[in-house]
Amino acid sequence: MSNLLHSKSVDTDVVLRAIAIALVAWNHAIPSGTKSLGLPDFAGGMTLLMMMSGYSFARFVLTDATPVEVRHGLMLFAKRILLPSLAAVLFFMLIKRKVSLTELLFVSNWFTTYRIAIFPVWYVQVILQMMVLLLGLFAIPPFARWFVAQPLRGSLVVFAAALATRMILPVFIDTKPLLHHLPHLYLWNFTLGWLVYFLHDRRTPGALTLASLAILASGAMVWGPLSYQFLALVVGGLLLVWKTRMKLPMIVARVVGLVSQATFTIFLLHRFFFVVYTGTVGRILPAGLLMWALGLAACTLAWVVGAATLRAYHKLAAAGMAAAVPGAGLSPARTAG
Amino acid sequence: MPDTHNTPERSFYGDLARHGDAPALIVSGGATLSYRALDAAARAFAEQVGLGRKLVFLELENDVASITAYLGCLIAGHVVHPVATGGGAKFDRLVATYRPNLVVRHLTGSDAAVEDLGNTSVGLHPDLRLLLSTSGSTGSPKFVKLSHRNIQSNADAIVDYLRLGSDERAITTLKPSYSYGLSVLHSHLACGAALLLTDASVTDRGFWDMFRENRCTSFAGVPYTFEMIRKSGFDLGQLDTLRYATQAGGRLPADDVRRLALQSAAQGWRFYVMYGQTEAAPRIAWLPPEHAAERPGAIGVPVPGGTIMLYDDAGTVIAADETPGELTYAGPNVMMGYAESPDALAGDETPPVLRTGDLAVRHADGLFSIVGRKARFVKPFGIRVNLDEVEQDAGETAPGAVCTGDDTRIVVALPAGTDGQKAELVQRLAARYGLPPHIFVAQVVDPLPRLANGKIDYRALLTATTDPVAHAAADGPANFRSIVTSPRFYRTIWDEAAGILGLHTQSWDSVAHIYGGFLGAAAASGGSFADSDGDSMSYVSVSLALEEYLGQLPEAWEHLPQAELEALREQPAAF
Repeated sequence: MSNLLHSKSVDTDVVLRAIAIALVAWNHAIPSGTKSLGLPDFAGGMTLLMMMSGYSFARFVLTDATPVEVRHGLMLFAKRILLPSLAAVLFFMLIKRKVSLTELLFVSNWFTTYRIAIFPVWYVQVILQMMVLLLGLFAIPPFARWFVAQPLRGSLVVFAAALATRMILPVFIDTKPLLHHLPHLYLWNFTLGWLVYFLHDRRTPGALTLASLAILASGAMVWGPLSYQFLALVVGGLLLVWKTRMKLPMIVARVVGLVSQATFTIFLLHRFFFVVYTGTVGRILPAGLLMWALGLAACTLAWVVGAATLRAYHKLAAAGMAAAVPGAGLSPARTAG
Repeated sequence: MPDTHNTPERSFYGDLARHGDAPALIVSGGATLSYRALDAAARAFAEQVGLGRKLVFLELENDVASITAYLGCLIAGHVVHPVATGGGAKFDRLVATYRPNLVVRHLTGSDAAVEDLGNTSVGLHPDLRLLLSTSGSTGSPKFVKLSHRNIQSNADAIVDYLRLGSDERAITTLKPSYSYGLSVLHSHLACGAALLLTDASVTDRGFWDMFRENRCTSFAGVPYTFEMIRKSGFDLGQLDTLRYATQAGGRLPADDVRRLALQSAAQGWRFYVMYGQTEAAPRIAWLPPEHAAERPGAIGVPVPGGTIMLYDDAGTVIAADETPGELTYAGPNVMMGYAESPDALAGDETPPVLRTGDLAVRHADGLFSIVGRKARFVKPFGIRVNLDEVEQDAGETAPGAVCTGDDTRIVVALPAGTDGQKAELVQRLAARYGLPPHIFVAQVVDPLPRLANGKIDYRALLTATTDPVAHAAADGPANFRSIVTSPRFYRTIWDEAAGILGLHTQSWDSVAHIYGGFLGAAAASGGSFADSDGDSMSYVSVSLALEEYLGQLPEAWEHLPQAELEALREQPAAF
């Protein structure tokens, strides 16, 4: 037990993911208008999460990659987000007995802010549409070759163009009714992660300072310096840049690790949990902080069960696969199969 | 002519005091221990553990206490297995198998703690001094046996070709439980040079300041070290006192070798590319710096006292230049054989030559280059596996078993009538080699495909054997039903969930095991996390599992091949 009080060094990336998803859940558990609870709402989790997604994408896909590998990475990323999200959308349509073709196709963000799914489906829609946008961009051979040859410069150019689009386009086309939940208006947020990663990879004080300035400037321009989004982006971003690892008490590190691993499950399920909670135990127990904490715990547990089931299946399938080949000897018919 | 490497008195540890008050170990920002003081401390430790022949498992780190303990054990005449701290369940398995007399634990900031396990002494060969983990087979308790002659001769050879003198001062960059790191320690003690002890990495802020402040003259690196230096943009030319850098532990890309060779020549320091194996204690060859720019892919020439020969498949020595053959090495540093059980510690099975399994060519200028690996070695998940060894292992369960494979799977062809043994065999081989079970395909093949000359046609066997992924797809629904309806499935879910929640320690056998578990078949090539379709969804789980297994993750771990990550824990091979 005393081990749980020892400190453990944890990757800042892991900690920030956990904080970001906890903020997202917090913002939905304690929305604006319920200030009577004495707790502030706190938007900004999604903004931090989007930058973290871009950071990870640059780290795992864009580094030392060929154009083909980048396109493969974009498709793989889209696929891994699409399948569970589609399952969740279908589930919510089933229980609400409603269907929306645009939502099923993950394009409803272009038409309405209404959604059937009880999770922030707009985020998935924006990410998927950004993947399509980027696939198109990386399908242009000269651009793809130029980008992979100098990913820092490439990231800077794409980020600058995306930021300009975010700042200028809404002046001419009013996208506020859609809450700006459109791929070209969020591309800056995702590609800010690219720029931060490649600057951070340089590890020189100058590069780290530039990364910090990019976070500060873009956050202030898009959200304004007095917003929670700006605060979340800047605090999270600066930690990511300047503090690669942080020491936490073992027990906190464990909880953070679990929540961080469960990020996507929490994202998909937390609002549904809040709805169920409010309609059942919420009648006798308070909402707010307790609902938020229980929601995080329940969704994390759901991830644990899912992950354990998958791992158990893979383990047994792998053992069985290797052992279960029929022993009839080699024949042309078998080898052909 | 007497063999001067064979007497412990003439050793790097036998008379440390002969170097007097020269600095031996320097702690950054702290004390300096002279050779005289180190000798006294090591002898005091030798007295503490008692003279004689004991088997000692010792946690060795880059600090004064554990190095003193290590030298004390050698002075006392014991047989030492140096191991990194935090070995966990694997270390416990080793202790259970070999039943050492003493375990010396590494305690931060204080003396090493000696645990007398009270075990009955096992038979130890009089020449045996050191036991190091082998490359490959990471899941199995297997050692390379090294004699005093092996380690002393190699230390002397290194001093010779690196031109080391008592005015050298190396900064530590590798764990001393790793054969490459250990050779740095040995060679510097052999010539009365000093070591600056630190666990900091070349990417840590302050590492190079420490180098400068302590006027260090050299550092050793694996390919990853040099990659990190390049990525950080740090210019080694800023180190006024740098005299040389060495590289081993894997192949550094030729472009990087050329760049470093030209840079070092321009800046007035020397860059050495080296090659070796733990089985050679560990150094086999070195590339003279003046040839590095023109021959960046070469491993160079044998170390002083050693000989390299190339053999063809028929076992004949190859005399012609540029003709590939298996690199074999002969010299006083060739190991005493392997140990896979305590009984093997009493014997001396020194092979006449060391067969490395690497294919090499000799150039007209006398330099050697590695051009590949012998076909009987495969590298699933980057772990070197000897197919002959697997064949031998499988034969214990199913006599007559034949083995082939590639870097994605290992096929064990079994004789008729051994159907019932397949599952147990696969599990045993997976545990033995630290690989996921799905890598092994056990299949009855009767009769075996043969070539016209009657030899087994391994290529046909591999091609013809059912692909495991295709088989899984074909057999999917039936397999799915049988798995989800078995009680074992639900017990396994419970075990996995308890492991994830930290209710019990998750048992990872290797990096390959972790990657296979989280990334599946995409990781079978042994590539890095990024190369294996790893992404932000799997990143957190994999990084936490790796941290649990390795203790600490290096920066940019996601771009390191699995074998290099494995080396950070076991650090068994020292190419």
